[in-house]
Amino acid sequence: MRMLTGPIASFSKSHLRDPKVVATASQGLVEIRLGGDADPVGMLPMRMIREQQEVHALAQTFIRAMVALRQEKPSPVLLGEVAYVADWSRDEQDRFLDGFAEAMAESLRMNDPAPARFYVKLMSIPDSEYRSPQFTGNVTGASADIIDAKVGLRR
Amino acid sequence: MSLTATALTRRNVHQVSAIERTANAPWWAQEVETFLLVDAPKQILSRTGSGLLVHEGDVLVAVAAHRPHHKWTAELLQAFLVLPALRNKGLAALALLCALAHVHVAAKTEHVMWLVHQENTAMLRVSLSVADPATPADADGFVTFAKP
Repeated sequence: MRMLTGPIASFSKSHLRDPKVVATASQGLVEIRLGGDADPVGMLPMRMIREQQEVHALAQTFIRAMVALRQEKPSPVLLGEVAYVADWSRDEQDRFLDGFAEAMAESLRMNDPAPARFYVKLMSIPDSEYRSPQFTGNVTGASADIIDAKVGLRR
Repeated sequence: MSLTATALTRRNVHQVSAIERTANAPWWAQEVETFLLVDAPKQILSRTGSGLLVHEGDVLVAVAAHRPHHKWTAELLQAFLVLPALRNKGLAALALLCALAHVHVAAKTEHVMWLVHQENTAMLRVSLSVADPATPADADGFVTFAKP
């Protein structure tokens, strides 16, 4: 969970030489009080900033996709990294946006780009067309009769 | 050791993206991995399939996909994968039992079926430790297991 809901610790400016300040800040947002009327400043891991930036970028992608997919001929430029949906059917595009909205909501809730990033990447991969029995449950020949007897009623 | 299974949902399906493919995997393992890393998550996202994650504490141990069988009144465990880094640690049979128990409850079904290719000796060994084979290998080389 990567929440930026508030500082995990607060130090005064005079503590800045204390290694504990940086050690704590590597775990999350740390408030540094500057004294007087000055607004406090924050220290946080760069990882959190990069994740925040990626969440923002994905949110922009989502908004652009919403706008683009309302047009009769969606612009691949506007769609950006989800341009692969431009040729999908209207129904598929609606379902894409529906899933993207849910993944985006989860990313924003957790302040973690992973759910939306995974969704965008996964949807860009063409569907496989597996016919392997292990995925369909198809069995051949006498095995079907044996399973009939073992499992019971057919549907 | 305590394993728990939770349903794959739109909220947690991104966790499968952390699974690394097996290096130099045989064809049947590549198929299962692709199915679980691509097709099954798509089914979850489009609400056309079901799946589960098996954890030991916070550590993801295994992932599986399942759906109702089109012919028999049973749930088909389509694919089951123990994470490559956790293999050969005696976890697979427990994880499979945990997955089967979850599927029984989630699908409200009397039987769970799964097919294992006869070349997949690791999964055959694990399957034989939790159930008897329902059939010998069929013409495609798949052995069927059915666990009440």
